[in-house]
Amino acid sequence: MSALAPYVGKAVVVITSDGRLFTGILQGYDQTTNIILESAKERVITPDAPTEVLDLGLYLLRGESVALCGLVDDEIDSQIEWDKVRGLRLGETKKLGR
Amino acid sequence: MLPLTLLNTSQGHPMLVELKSGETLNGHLVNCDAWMNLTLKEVVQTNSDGTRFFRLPECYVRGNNIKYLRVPDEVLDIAREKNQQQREEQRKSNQPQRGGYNRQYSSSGQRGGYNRNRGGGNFGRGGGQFQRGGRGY
Repeated sequence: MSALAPYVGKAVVVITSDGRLFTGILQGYDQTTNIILESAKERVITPDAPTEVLDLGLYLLRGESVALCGLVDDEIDSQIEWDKVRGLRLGETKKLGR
Repeated sequence: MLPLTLLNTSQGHPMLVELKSGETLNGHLVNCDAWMNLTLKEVVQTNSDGTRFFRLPECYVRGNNIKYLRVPDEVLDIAREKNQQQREEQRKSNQPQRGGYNRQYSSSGQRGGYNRNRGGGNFGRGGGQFQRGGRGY
């Protein structure tokens, strides 16, 4: 079973079930994927306007709202000009019935 | 660090809770449990549009309704200090008694040197009783 242990202390990107994108340093997690993000920032990517970055501070995300948690490659990330990035807004996740 | 540990440490601190419905609750955390159920006091409830505000002296949030919590930055440092303190306390209680003579001898009067008397006295090994000096067990 894979866990988030190798990501602790590193910069990660989290996408939540409502389609929001957060970056921050993963400080902790548990079996339900509740996540502690330090220095969390939300990146709002839209089709027309420059990417907004909102500084949020210390975040505790509930596992149910976490869709994805990925490791940031600092090399690649520093080469991206985020204010030039454009994109469609992510939708919400759908809960499928049993 | 476990997320619920951080949550427990933030008791007494102000925080923002966003619910799955998009409503936000701003207030001080009174208590929390393993299911992330919370009691908050002096709460300002805002609807998901940000257009309506309610003030509640107290409220209870069932954990499964929470999307996320925003917590003051200093809580992380406080939680880390607590972890360190707990670890030090564990170390102290695990360590065998050292330094000077072990005064937990029974009246067999055995100290360093040969321990000729086996079976009598406190000869525990591990569990905190060690005999200093001496060649026997």
